[in-house]
Amino acid sequence: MNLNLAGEKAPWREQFPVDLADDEYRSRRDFTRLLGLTSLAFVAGQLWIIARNFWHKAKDLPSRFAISRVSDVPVGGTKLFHYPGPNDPCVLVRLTKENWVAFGQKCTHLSCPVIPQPEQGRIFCPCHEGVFNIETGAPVSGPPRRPLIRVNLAVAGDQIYATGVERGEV
Amino acid sequence: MKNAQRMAIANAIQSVVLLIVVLQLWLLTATMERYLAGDADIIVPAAAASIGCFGLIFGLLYFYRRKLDH
Repeated sequence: MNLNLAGEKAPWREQFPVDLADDEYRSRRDFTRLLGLTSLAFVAGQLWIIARNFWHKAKDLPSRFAISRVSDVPVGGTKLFHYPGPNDPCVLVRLTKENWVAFGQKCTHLSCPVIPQPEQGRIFCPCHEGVFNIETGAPVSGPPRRPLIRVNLAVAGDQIYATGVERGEV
Repeated sequence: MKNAQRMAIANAIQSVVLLIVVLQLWLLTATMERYLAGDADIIVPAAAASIGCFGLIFGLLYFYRRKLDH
């Protein structure tokens, strides 16, 4: 409280009756409340990830998906397809006449699309120079620590099918 | 309670809340990174931890309202 020498309340106080200490306290309290709302938003974000994961799992997945005709992919050739869902890009690689592999095309580091390079025996991620073994999908070098999602394949006649996926562990 | 005391407690609560919110931000980005990399095992424990952090903040804000405002 501002008092003059006589111990009386300063006249300007009547025209400007704001208590600065109380004002500071209130603004601090409001900021802390805003932080509380921010915290709630982060919780909502975490729950959204769970909901999204649950929704992806609940979708009906095709058990058998025709990727390509065997004769359409030469040795050393590749073919892109989507499995099990339309938002799951995969790549089929023909290593030899009888040896086929297929992996999810999302890098296990930050989901960049990977590029198979059969002539070098590797699958390459250009974003951060991650390298995977083309036969196993295991990480060889760079930031990725988990193998690529492997697509199980079955050959019947002249047709090659995707029959499931396997997620590798670290 | 004196105004100086009240401000000291308010500052302490605000600092702790800020620290927890930064922790939650880190938790969310780390969870998102793991999830986008195809690892969904971590999302439920991370969400539980985030809810726990929010509970702590809620408790502090409740204390703020009950003890400091009145």
